[in-house]
Amino acid sequence: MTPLDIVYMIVYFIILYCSTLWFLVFFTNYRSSSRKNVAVKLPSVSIIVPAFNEEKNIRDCIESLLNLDYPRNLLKIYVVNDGSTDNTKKICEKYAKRGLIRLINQKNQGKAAAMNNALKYVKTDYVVSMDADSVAEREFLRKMVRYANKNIGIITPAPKVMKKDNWIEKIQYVEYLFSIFLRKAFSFFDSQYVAPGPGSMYKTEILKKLGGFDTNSIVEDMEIAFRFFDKGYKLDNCENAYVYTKTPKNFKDLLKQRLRWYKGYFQTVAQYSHMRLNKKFGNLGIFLLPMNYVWVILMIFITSSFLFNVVSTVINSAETIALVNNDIFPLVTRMELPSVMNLSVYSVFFAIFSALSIVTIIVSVKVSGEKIKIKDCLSYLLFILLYPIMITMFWTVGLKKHLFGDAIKW
Amino acid sequence: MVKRKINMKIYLLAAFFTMIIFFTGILLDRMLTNTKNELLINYIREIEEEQTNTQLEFLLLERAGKNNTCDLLDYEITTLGKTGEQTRIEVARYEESGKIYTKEFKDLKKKYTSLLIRNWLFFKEFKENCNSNMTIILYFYSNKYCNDCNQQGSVLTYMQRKYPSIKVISLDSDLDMNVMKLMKRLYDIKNVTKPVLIINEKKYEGLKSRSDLEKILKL
Repeated sequence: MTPLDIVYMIVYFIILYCSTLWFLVFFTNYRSSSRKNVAVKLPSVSIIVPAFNEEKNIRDCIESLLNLDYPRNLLKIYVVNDGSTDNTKKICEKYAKRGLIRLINQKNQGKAAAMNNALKYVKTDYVVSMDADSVAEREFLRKMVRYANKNIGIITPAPKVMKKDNWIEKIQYVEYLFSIFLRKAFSFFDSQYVAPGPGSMYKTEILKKLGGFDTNSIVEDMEIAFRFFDKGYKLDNCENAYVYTKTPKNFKDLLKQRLRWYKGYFQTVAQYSHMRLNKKFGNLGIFLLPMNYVWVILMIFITSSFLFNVVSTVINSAETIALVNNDIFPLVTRMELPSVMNLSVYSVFFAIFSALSIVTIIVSVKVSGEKIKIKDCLSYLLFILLYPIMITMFWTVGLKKHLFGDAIKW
Repeated sequence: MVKRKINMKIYLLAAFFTMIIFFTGILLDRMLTNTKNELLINYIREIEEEQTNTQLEFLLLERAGKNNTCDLLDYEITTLGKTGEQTRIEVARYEESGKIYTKEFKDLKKKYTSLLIRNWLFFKEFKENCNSNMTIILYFYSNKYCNDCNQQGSVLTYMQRKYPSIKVISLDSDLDMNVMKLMKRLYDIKNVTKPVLIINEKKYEGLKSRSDLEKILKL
């Protein structure tokens, strides 16, 4: 066994360990959790929708909120027009005139400032942040408040993608389902560190006490989750409270979004570095935060070695073709079929990881309340094949941008 | 304020299950290696049987005169070449499938290499006694030190398929065998950092393309 083989085996072991851990955490808690957290009395809730140039989406968002199955006297909707230059303000004014929402206008200051601006008016027990390009299902709030109790500071929802027309959206569709599974596992493990923008619910009193959202952070939904965690509040998750959100349609937009997320992650972790390897912060401190660094290294190693193999095979084949004066006919027509001799320890682990990917997708789909469909097979396949490469790229470039201080704006 | 718990049990349980899956993988690989070794043993046995037949026919050739036996030998040599080539492909696949070699594989490869050298002697003898137009290429490669050897292997495979009269005997120069040392001394080969080809007893070093080989072989 060469040193490189040993490195590969260690990498495989770590990946297997993390996967096994998440499955164990999930399945040992999932059944017992489903009947718990039933709220006796419905709390009052405010929903804040910050909107900047959202004329195409804001109507659907407001309509979905007005359509929520929740007593009207316990629900308030605030839309913050964050200095839009399109028709967002006009559309919202129509709803405001009918007394259905409260419209707050401000100069363009960003999402965190918009949330804080509306928070000043909020007097309800809970406050929900809602992205303007998202819609909530009718039962969303009723499901969320079931998790409300005095120790819980934030309840996270289960965001899903609204459209899955092209390959970028198809990959994100499966990624979001996978995130629903993983978020629930993190929640059981008391180590959630993100409160997704569309649909997270905060205890108003605590949010105000902690000073609202950080206007300097590029990932205010992550920073606020870290702050709640740091101050000793618990984050729970309602895995079947669905919000549907619009996701980037092309790679350029996706890259822009993810660089903000991942650079933001490193920025936030640096800000809360005292949590790392600190027993006081439980599983997040001693396992998840340090493991995320290991995970980045593993992903870079695996993806770069995979890409290196692909590129060197292509180059070798091109060289061979050139060496035989482009006459590949004798090589191709009499090509031998693969045999058992082609298999190795790497093939065995490839089979194990393939099976693991399939199981993960099945579990993610089931947990998300969806069904395995033949027409979604392409989405599953794209996720298995391309997502690891994409996520490695996002983490790596995000880390680079964090280390070398490249500017990223919201 | 909540007091955060660290559930050590779940970490240990995960480690336990991971070890089960991981070592099942290693065990499956062990079983796979045994199957591959058995297959290789079968190939080697086949070559040995064919060599015994060929040897017998050479004896007949000596007694009965070449006119009666060259046709038969031609068939035998072709079969020997085909089995040798098939085994070469399987050995190459075994080597390429992963760099985790076992001692069994190394021993089998040594055995297979001595059979290849014997094949080479048969081919030479057949060519001389039966006036065959066969072209024999002795190819020394190294998996450790020669970067171009992979490409040379592909070019030689191409040449064999394009021109069936070409017989290639590929020898791994890294093998620690007396007969390999002797062969290398015979052709004055020291370190195989470049592919080494012996064609009509002449030594050629460095990567040779299809055009180079066609020129050397006058094809």
